[in-house]
Amino acid sequence: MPATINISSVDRPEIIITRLFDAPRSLVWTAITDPKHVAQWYG
Amino acid sequence: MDLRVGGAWRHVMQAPNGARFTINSIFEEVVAPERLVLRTSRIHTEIRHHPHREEEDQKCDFQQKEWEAAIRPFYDLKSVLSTPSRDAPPEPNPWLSGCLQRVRAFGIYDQSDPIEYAVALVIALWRWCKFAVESSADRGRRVIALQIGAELIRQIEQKWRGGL
Repeated sequence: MPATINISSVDRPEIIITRLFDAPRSLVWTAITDPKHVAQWYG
Repeated sequence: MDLRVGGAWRHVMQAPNGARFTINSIFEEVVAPERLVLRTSRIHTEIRHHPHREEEDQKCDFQQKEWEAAIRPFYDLKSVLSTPSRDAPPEPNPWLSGCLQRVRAFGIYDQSDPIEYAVALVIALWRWCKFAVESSADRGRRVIALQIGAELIRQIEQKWRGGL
């Protein structure tokens, strides 16, 4: 799972964090939107 | 968690010492399964008290102040969570993006590297054109010229990505 943090100065402060998961998109979506899984997603 | 545009999400995090941090957000965009945009509407901290453990209370209190000070700049923070598909364009070439960033930010480039030198020249030219265009009084033509320039740069970057 490569992770990159890219801090670039734009009009407003912006931080872009990219992380690649070897999982279907629908599964990732469920993990970040279903309260059951969100607790685990955020650890 | 009310997953719809305008819906609210109340997220409570609990530290090992019992301190609870509540983050309230509003969903701005909900596009399953690829894009979730939320704005932190208001943040407040709740502390669970331990009446008989003064020391612990003090520690929590300190953490609350610390947390509030740390989080203040992030009031009205906008978070975009996106899950691009595997077929999305490849990650930018790290060498090229590093080179572009340096040239853009500081005008620095490595003259001994012909490709980096070429990139620097292209960007210098683009900057010069942008300056000339921005000094023009005709707003309509200015906007069009800037759009063309931005598109050219985008295409050059795209062409070089992964190819080097």
